[in-house]
Amino acid sequence: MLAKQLFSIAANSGNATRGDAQVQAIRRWVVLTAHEWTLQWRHKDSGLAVLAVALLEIAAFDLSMNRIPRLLAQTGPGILWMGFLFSGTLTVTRAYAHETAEDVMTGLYLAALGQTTQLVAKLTVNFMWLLGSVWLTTWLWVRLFMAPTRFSWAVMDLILSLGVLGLVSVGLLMARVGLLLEGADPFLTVWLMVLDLPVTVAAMGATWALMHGGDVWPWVRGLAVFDLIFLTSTLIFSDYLREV
Amino acid sequence: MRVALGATAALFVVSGYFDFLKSPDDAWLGPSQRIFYVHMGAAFVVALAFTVACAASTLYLATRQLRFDRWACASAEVGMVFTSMLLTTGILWGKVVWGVWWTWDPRLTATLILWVLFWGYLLLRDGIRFREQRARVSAVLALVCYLDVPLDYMTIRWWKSIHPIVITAQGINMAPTMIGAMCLTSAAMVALYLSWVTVRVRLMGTEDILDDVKNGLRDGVRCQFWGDGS
Repeated sequence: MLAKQLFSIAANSGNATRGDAQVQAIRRWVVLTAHEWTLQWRHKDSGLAVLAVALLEIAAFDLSMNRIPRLLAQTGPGILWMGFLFSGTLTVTRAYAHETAEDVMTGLYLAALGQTTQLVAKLTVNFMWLLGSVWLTTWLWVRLFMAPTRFSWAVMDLILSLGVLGLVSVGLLMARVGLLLEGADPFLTVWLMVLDLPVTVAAMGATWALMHGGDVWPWVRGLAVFDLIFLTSTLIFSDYLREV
Repeated sequence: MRVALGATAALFVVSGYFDFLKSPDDAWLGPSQRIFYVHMGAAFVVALAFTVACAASTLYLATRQLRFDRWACASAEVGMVFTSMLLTTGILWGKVVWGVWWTWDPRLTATLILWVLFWGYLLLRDGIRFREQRARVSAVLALVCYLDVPLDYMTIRWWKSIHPIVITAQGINMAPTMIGAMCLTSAAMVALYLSWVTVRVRLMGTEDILDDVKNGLRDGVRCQFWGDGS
């Protein structure tokens, strides 16, 4: 059904007039996002991986250090963001794994759907799934270990969104590289964590400052700059990685 | 090439004389100041090497000529050697001045990250079999890795760092004789970098020719064994 819909849109896009081009691009993005969402919903691995690591962290720290709640409140942002970095990188670098296994990549390469639209759709869905898991984990952590702490959840949402955007954008670029590597994917994941370090440090610093009454905005500005650099790099360079 | 290598050796002899005999001991740091000349020279070459790798990668993506990929890879390889030298001399100098072998200072951490990133770049290159594909992916990776170079330079200006700032808008914070020694060592190291990269690029060209010959022979044997495919 979905394949039929994709095909009809691809076929119609060739007849589009100039005025329709933007509408067509948005329609393609919506359809591809729906396609990505269906894939993610069917497998659920990216969201579940983040939650699994988060539960591991919560269980391990609750069992071992719950007698020192102050310590957990102090180290919380670091523990959380290292977990997000680890699980987020692991899942995002496998963003094309389902397409490869189901042999959809060739079809996507050949489809007249716009390669950038495909990337943006993948970015949107991965961002939404990861952000959902990350938000849930942070909420759980705050409820369990930092109950008396008061801070603005709107600012926290902004920090989480910017952090996740940084992880997902550069992660997707490396997922493309991963498709071309022969047996070096585990190293790519570890290497990507190093590449993501500026985003993680800025997100960690912002979260810590928010939770402990520090100045959040220099960290948020830094985070926004790193996001912009990574997002631009991904949009520019992914074209080169698509060539066969 | 021999002339270039001879000139490099001569530059090293002259810079060695200035580093160890001509320039004075630092009033505070004593003779350990001499480590700095090598450290600064290595830092200069690291910035140059990775900038060359970045420029060559951009040129490869624009022109698709494999010689630019060779330049990018060779420059990154030699840059890695100089980054190791930079970290080692920094560690030695830090032990004398700060009393510790290593501290997680922003500049030190950013340099270590740079080392890991380009190490990864070189390792990931090996994971791709086809030459054009490898060149294309490597070019993208080099450009992404290069993002850390300006960040590394700016760390001591953006964050609180114990790393000294030698070159400022007001000039170089050193005695004139020390500046001379530093410039000479940097020149010698740049000459070494250029000679080394040139040799490595030639070697890579030969490796590619050898690969082509091997593949041609393999195809020839296959044709003889299986017929010409008809």
